[in-house]
Amino acid sequence: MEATTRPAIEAIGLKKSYHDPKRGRVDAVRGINLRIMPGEIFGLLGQNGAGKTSTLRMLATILPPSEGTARIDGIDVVQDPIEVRRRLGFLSGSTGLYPRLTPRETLQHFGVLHGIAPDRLAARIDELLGVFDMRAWADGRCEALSTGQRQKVSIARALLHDPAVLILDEPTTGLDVLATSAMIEFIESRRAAGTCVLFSTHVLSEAERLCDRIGIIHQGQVLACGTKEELRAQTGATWLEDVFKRIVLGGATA
Amino acid sequence: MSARSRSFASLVRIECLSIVRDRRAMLAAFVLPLVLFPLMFWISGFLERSGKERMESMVIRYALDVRALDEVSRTELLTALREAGPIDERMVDAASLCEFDPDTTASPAEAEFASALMGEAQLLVSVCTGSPAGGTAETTPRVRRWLRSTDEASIEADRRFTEALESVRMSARTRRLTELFGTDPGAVVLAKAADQADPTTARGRQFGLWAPLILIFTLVGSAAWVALAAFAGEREQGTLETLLVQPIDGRLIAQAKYVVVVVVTLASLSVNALGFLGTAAFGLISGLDGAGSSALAPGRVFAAIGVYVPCVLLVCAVLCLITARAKTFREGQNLLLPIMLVLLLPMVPLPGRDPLLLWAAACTPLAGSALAVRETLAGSGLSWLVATACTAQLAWAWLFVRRVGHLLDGERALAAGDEEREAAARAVQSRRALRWTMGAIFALYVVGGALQSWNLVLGLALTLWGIALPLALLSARGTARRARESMAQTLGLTRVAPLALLGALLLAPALALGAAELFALQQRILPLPDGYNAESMMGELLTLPLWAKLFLIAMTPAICEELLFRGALLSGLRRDHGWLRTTLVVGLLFGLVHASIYRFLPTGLLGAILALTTLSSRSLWPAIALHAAYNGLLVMQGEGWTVPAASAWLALPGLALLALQLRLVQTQDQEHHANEAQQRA
Repeated sequence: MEATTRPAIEAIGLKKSYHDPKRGRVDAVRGINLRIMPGEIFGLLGQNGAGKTSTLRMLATILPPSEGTARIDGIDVVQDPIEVRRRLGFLSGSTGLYPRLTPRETLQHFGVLHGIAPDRLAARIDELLGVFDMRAWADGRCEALSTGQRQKVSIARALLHDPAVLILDEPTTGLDVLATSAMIEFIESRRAAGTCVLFSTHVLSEAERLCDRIGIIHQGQVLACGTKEELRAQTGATWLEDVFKRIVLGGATA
Repeated sequence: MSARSRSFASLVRIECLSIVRDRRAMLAAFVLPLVLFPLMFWISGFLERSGKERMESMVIRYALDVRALDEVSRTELLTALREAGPIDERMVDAASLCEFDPDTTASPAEAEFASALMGEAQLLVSVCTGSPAGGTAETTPRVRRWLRSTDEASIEADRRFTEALESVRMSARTRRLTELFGTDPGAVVLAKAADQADPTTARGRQFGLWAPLILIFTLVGSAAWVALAAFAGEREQGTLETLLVQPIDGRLIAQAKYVVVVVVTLASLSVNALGFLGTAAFGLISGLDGAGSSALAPGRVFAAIGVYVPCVLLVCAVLCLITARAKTFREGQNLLLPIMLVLLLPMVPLPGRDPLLLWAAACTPLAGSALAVRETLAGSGLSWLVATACTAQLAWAWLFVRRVGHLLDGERALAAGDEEREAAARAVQSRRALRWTMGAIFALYVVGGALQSWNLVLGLALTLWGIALPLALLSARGTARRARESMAQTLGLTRVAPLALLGALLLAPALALGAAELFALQQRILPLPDGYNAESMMGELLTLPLWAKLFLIAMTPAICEELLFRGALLSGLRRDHGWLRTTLVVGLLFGLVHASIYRFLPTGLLGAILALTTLSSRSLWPAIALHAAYNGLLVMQGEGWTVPAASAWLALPGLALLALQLRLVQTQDQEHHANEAQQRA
């Protein structure tokens, strides 16, 4: 029982501030608390500059938090970042690939970096190539691939070590319609796999379709957090767009 | 194989694969270095040969008046001219040209007359006998030539004619000597010099002079490409973030990238050396004939690359540190030309072989490697020097390589944009102070220089009181406004413990004595030119009464220069930088303002010491006191005083007092901070 009640992602009073020459000290993230359970799909909804990327980067151990703590699968991101990264798949909309490597070489390389044993890695790569239907072009250079194909490689790369937690930073940014819908289907498929998915977006329809729970982030703080129904009840609005507006505008004037 | 070493191997492999599959990188790292020498020497050889052939086959038209020469010489001259190449000779009557005096510049009449005679010819030659103005009789014929220096053929004509004339002169001399003595009496002392130098060494020495320059080009050329691809490229193609969420230490990634940069660069240098040796073996290098080419020992060339390895480690680390800051490939590329120029400077061959200079060069970054390469190619017995140079270069490299590991630290790598802007914003005060000081230095050079050449005494006073002082105050006013403090605080004109003042004053004798030692040392490396001494510089200052000298040379600079350099500049710099950088910059600019390469070291050092005095006491007064005392001692030395050597020991209590003051100030600071923290709580 203990294992199931432990949150997959937990953030307690997470803060990040940096210095901006024009604005002086900028508090990008001002005390965020999150508890996301295994198998849950959680959407972080917010405008540009709301602090989504900083939050996700702190959870993914790329940036050290200024204050507060965060645990991924029960492991502290500051104390043991390497162990956190072993359990974490990370992907952002701006993720690129090594242009002169083939998809197979890319997967091979990141598999080795994750410390997967050679024979197990070969089997895993073969499995992923099959799952994402990549065999036909697995040995051509990445620079020659289409956007959709590149996205598949990136997803396969993030899933290589079968992470318990997936953190996706605006995963659909810069994708065309087909690739976006493929990404949405992929996130949905994770629910069945029992993976915890935390993703950020500013597209309301994505959040509405995918998320078990939504956190609305504005100016570095989570203003509201709950299921769609809870948020609707809280604000009295029907459409998520109105929900978002009421929460953000209300939060801004409060 | 452990997981860590497998990761490392995979990182290296991926980088190498990326380079091998990148045509541009391959071109820059391997193809260009390989074909550089063959192409360069083939083209230069081709140009030289074709130019020579063209010249030799050129038909030269001469207009000659050689009637004054004797029969034998005339025939000999014409034969020699005809042998030198195809010619077209025309005999003219240039007797009227002999009227003109050859010692004065050609008059318009002479020029007009000569060009009429020359016509289409490229060279006009007239031989005159007798002195022009009908003075003392002279029998030796005088040969005069008219040519057009703008015409290539005319120059060639003159060259051929001069050679022919020289051979005529030599044979006439030999003929006459043989007539008189039966044999050339000078022949007995003719000696042929035989070069005993080992040809390998001679060639090595010759190439060692410019090998470091070529090496640094190849080194930067290939290393920069790889470093750019490995660091800036990673960010540009959007793979950096991915790399940073892998469960391995960021240091391992940076180290792997660095190893790749070094390995590729060494390979590139080896390929370059092969190209060079190949070119020499095919006899394409001009001045290296068959025997010479074999004299260029391949062993030595590769040994030279071996001693160059520390330099490769150093330059690669520096390039990695720089390219990791660039956000895009193009931004990184823009940095390369300035880097190349900076790196070229220490590669310039050192003149002279003063042992002190050699050892100093061996310990200087980059210059030491240039020296090691030079000595290795020459095969000279200076193995200790080469070993020292290599060790020193390795130490320098270590300083930079250590920092490579931190390049891919998430905060820095991803937030670099913010961080750079932040750093730029933070450095506002220091950049302002720097701009003002540079402006002041420029004004002192231009206006001050003009004033002092007009009147040394008045000019000096005006320069310091009229330029340096107002600019210092203006600069400090801006800094003070921004920092919301009084100008006296900015300039450091704050109250100071009398003991700190005393401490600074006690340093003066040691500094004056040290300056003399430093001058003697500098004389060995950079001797003062003749006629450049204190007397010539001081000029009319020396004739002033003692009180005026003390005021102008001791008090005035102590006040004005201190307010500018240790007041306005130092306080601006210190706001944004550490004490070390502040001291170095203040020293550098203080050395520069004295506008003389011979005074750069002593004044720069003095500037740094005064900066340290100010920093340690948090007040300008000790620096003013020390500067005045030091300059005053120099004036008194000029009056025939000697500073007793034992007085240098006074520096010890002086330093102790300054250290005490520093301790005091630090304690006060701590208390201040503690109070502030308490108030906030």
